[in-house]
Amino acid sequence: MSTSIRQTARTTVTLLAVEAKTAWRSKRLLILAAVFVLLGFAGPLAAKLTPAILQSAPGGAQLARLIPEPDSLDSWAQFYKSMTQLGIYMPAIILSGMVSHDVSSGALVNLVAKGLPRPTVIAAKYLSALVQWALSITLAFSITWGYTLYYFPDGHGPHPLTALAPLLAFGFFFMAALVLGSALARSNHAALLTAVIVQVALMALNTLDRVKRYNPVSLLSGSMPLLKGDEDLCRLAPAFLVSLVAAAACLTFSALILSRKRL
Amino acid sequence: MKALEIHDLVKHYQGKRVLHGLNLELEPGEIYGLVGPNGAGKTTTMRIILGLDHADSGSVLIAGQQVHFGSAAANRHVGFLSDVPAFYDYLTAEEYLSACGSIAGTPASAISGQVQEVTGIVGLHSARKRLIRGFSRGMRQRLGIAQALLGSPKLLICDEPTSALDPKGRHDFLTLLDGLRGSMTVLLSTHILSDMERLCDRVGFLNRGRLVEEGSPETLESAYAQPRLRIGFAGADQAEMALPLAAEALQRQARQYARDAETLHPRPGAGRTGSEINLPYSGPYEQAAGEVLRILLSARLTPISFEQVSPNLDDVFMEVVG
Repeated sequence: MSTSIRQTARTTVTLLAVEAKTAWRSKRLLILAAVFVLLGFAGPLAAKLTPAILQSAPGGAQLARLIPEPDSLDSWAQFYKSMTQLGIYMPAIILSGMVSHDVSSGALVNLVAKGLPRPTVIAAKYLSALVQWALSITLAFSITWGYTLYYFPDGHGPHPLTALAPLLAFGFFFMAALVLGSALARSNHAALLTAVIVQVALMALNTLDRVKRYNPVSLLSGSMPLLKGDEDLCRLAPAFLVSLVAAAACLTFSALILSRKRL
Repeated sequence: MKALEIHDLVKHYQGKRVLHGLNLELEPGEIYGLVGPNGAGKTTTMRIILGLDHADSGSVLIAGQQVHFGSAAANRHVGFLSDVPAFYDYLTAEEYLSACGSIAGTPASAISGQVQEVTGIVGLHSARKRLIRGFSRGMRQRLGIAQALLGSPKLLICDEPTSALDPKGRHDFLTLLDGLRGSMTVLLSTHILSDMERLCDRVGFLNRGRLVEEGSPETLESAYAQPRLRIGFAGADQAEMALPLAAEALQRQARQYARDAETLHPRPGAGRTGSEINLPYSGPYEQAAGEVLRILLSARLTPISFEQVSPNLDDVFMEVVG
């Protein structure tokens, strides 16, 4: 390994350690964990308690008789609903200032003056955000999986791990979009807004049938068919590929922006 | 090889020309002070040297290596201390300095020793395991000095380094910088010219993006600034009456001196502050002071204090940049 590659790797690991310590000590990780633990419990509990809640409502007994008995698919459906909404926007709110805050506070000045290559900042910020988000998703997923097996041992959703793959793949893209927003913007709010605009634009594109198959946003609705075994993961391959390419493009663009930014 | 070379540096900022073809060279081991009014281009120059800002044209070389904006390869051997350094506040001082050492490419085995050394130098050894977010402003400045000194950089750049320090902190920092003389090249900017006078081997005056004068403090003082007389009176009314008499006496004496010495120095005006008057003079002190005292006493204006004020960099600043 050449000296420069070794030094780049060392610098990235150093920045990741800085990010990890900051996330832990600022209680950012704790907040994320707490939210995702709640979301993890919410899926199976909502599925289990919905009939009882309906029955307790005025005239709910009749309504409760009309809806089928909840099963594991209801629990997972609830999980993916919350993961594709709160599960994405909550980390986005918490992590949106990852680059813009360091630029506006001047914290990068000393490090760049010591020889820190700016693209390394983007790489470390992205990896850190991705790991935090993936850990949070995995935590919620593990809780939902455990409680779903406990409450609904019906075997209706035999492929839970495969079903998680599209959500994780979308995370690769969305975290990169968030880094791009944070590199472009001077404030946390603007960074979050940029990421949201990217997602809304992709949702708008999803209305076009020809684009749908390649659109990263289509990954968000791809989990339930995979869970049931109705579809194969290969069907989502184009969207997976586009997500990874778009993530790489966002990160390259972010590195270029930060390299030209006045610190 | 020069420690730092700046050639024909030009920089525009928001449509305004900030640097006009700046040229500057620093010898290895010297302490160089950059002086100038606000907006003269000091911080911009330093930021370009550090690769934090881009120049419109011109070149910067650190130990012969070209500096490029956004690429900090030339900065591995540069220490930088800003006026208000910012850190990652959830790290301890020790963790932060270790991270800086790692980024600067210091071998892992040497980092711990260097961190111990620099925290000892700046007096943060006992606080090195505390989170930076709990540090006072003075402690943060000392941590900034520690990170700048980490790895014994060849070039240390300090932008208004003492502005946030109390008098003791400032004294300690200047003593520390003095101790570095010869071991590293230092480029320093500050508005406190007495600090420059005490520390710098050479001083450069930057005005409107141009280096208008440079030299050792002694050379500049003898070339530009004139010695002055500071005379105190019991009241402002007496000082007001004394000022034109004393100024006229010194002008007569200066004309006489110029005839004798065949030279006439430029002389900034005399002035009054409260009950004190301040007048530049040329020629021997005894001659000037005697003439002024003779005139004042004959007008029944008796000073309560009479002092010879030696020229300093403040006077040079006023004349060069004024």
